[in-house]
Amino acid sequence: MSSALALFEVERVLALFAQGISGQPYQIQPESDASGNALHSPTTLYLPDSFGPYPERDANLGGYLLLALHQLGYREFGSHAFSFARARERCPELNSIPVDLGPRESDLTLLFAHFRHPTLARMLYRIIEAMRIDRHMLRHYPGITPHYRRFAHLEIQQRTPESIDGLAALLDAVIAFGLGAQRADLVARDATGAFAPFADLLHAVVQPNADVYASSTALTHAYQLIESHGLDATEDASRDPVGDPLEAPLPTMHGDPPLEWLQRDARLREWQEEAEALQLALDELDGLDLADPDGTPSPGVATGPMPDDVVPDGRAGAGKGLHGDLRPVGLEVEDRKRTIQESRDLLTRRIEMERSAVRGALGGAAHAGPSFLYDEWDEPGQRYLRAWCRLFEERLTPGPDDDSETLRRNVAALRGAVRQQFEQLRPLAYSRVRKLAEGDELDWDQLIAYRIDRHREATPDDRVYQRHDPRARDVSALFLVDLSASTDDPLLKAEPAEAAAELNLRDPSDDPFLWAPNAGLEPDPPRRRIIDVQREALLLMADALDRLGDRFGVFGFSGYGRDCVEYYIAKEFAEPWTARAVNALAAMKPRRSTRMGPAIRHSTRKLVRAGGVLKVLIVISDGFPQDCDYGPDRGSHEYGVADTAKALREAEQAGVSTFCITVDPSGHDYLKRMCDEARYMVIEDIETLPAALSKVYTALTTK
Amino acid sequence: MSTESRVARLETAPYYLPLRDEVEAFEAAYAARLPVLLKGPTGCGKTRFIEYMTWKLYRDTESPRRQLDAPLLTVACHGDLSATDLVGRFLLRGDATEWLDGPLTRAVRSGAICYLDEVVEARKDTTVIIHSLTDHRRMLPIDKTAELVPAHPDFLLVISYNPGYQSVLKDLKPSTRQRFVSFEFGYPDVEQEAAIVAHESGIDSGTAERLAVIGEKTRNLTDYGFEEGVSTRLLVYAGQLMSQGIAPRRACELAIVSAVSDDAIVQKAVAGIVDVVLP
Repeated sequence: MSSALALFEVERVLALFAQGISGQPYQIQPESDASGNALHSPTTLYLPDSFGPYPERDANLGGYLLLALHQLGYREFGSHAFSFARARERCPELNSIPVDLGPRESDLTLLFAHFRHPTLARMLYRIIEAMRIDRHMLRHYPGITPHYRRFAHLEIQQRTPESIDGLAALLDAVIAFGLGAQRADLVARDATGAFAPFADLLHAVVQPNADVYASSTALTHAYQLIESHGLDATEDASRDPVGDPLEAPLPTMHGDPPLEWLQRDARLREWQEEAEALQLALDELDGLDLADPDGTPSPGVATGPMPDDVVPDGRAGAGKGLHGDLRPVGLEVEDRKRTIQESRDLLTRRIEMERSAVRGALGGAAHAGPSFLYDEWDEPGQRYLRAWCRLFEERLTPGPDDDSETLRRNVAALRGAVRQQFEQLRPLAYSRVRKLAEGDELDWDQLIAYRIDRHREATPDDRVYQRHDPRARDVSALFLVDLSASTDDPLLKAEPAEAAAELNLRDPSDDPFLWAPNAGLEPDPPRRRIIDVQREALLLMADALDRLGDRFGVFGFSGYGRDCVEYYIAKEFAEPWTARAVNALAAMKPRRSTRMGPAIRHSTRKLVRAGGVLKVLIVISDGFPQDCDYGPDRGSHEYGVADTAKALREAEQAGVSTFCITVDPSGHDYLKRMCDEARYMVIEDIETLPAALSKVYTALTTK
Repeated sequence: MSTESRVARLETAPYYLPLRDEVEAFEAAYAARLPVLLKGPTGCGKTRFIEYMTWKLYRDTESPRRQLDAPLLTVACHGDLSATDLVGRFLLRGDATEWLDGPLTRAVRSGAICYLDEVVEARKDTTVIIHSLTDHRRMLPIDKTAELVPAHPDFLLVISYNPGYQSVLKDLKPSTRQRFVSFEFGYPDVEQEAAIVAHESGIDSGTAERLAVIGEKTRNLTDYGFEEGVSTRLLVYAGQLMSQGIAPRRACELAIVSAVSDDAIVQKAVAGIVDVVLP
């Protein structure tokens, strides 16, 4: 067995590790860059495809932990909170050249632009900042030290130059020094005279309280040092470490994270807070409008000072305001409101543009939740493709067009009937409660024990009755809904096929006799789609199950391609059935493809975690499993059907009862190949889905 | 007798580190004789809190209740626990029967604090007696002896439950819940937890701080890896194993990694956290 670890083998471990360390979910993805460097974005850690420099697998896992921990360190130890204004306050030399590149440039770009060779400044900053992060990491997570030393040992061996005779060698020596190489040894190799003072100025960066401004200050001094030694005039100074990864000086662990974009991402949150503060200020001023014309505030209106003017300029240090006192309400208030409104609108536009730019640069924002890898059954090859599909969990959040009120209204008429059906379900399940002091009937075993104790002259247990109580149902049910694009299709009316075909051939606008009489009529009501009925059926079920007390979760799935299976959460098992969950259900909408296998495997995983004596998975779909790369031949559904069948069998083996409901009239063709006949149902008339669903649920959970 | 009750005499002060204003708030609740509900995750210090408060209210030098022999009666509730177990039963003595008070009746008569731990686990008939004791009546009806026992002026009923893992079926009904003032407990912050772990396990403050960091980081996995985070109790266990000479990583493996989940992947992730946080 090879000691090298493939990333997919430890991906879930690393994702949980990263979440534990940082407190937020992270996805783990292979770094596609040929350099194999570790990188990070706000939601993703990019790590090498495999890691195997050491002979032991545990040591290689430790290596992965080290790569992840260093990347997480940038966030934990404040790299992305960098503000150029504060850097200038901390380092007066940075004030010497005015720099203005526009309000949305990264503060780090402003910092680098301060120097004659911004590329060199960036390279120096990366080296210095990585060193600061390493020191904090080792201090906060001392257990990583053995892995760090092992890693550093290899790097130092490779990097220590024979002679420090130019900029490139000097940078390698500084990196090696940061990783623990002997200072005296490096000084002895230095022909430039710059290494020792460079090493000295790094002292400030490795202090326990060193923040990101210690790095920017050290950069300024290091750059001055290099200039004073004439090293910045060499050709090296203008090389682009980003464009040529082989020349990038940082070790694999440090990688080349897009620090400028990450700083912009962090700054976005600050801007968002500023925008909220502006809105708050506006709301307060609106409250003052309610005051009496003579300036007496109405009840409940604060009489403190007017809200500070928080007009932003998009840079830290902004928001110097006009501190106002409470003055009579009137034009002055209106003026202030207008000013704040303009500032808020300006900032909101800037936030939108910046968010779009950051998303474009860093990617990953489309899936902020955790991701999971699943195997897939390759029917032609008769084997599992390991870690083949990546499934992303995503919470359903209602948008402005998602209308839960209409959803509720639509099911109001059916709610009573479904509830009634489930109410009947309750008393069907009884369990005997024994050893009672009072009860419906005698418990003969206890009575005999009582008599025996009496004969033994011991104190008997007088709880000799028993009772039949409604059994506490220990059921976990998961509803998995296909959210493929086809669920957007309108419901077919029950019209004769021929008549419908004839109607479709005619364009009403060509026939004045056909459409003219209709011109003044009411428009057609909104067309009902498959997804509408699916949502209504789920709402009814959830409502009834909530009353019944069964544990249940509601999820949807879609996606496009094996790297992007989307799993939407409307309600988790542990969450209560609240208005928030109903809103999430209303936000279910048609999306893309139907890769069923990974969605079923993920559901099985959730059900097993949820526990329960009886675990039930009900899949509601409107067609066969299909995706752009679900099998070698896109035109054939055999591969997808076989994988889905395998996933359903895996679920059964894990103790999950499965049931598939489809509204696809041709469902028999493939469902009978996917599961046992008793385990699926084809619904001809989709409007009967709510009734069918409750019938299926009752049957599955009362056996 | 199936009731698992524990009588605490509390001669010495139990260790308890206040996290907020819960001590003052409990004193106020006791002064008004308001029944108390303690909510919080497993092992966060609910039971220790009630022991500490009992000591403070009954054993303090100024307390008029110092002479009470058993000021705290704790009942660990379970699925078979019924009202009879709490109230009492008749026992045989030779040919005669003799009534024996249950822990709740003893507390009601003597003026002690009765603490029903994980009360939602008990059978539903217990709620009937809880109700009569927690409103203006402060009475305990005993059917078998045809008694209506008025509660001693010092008596207080305290219940606890853990809303995290107990299912909807075992949730407290509003009619019961709304008879109590609720104290919500969470896990302490790193500094406080380190002080607790150091005191309870006897390990040095540096190691205790590391264990508290492990607790904090591991709790970030709640709902992703497992239902409840690592409890302070488990961290104390790890510290106690270390005090007994077990190597720190092995102690954490026994008390934390294996205890929080059976899922091998989750265990590996937690082991990774332990590995990097410990020196």
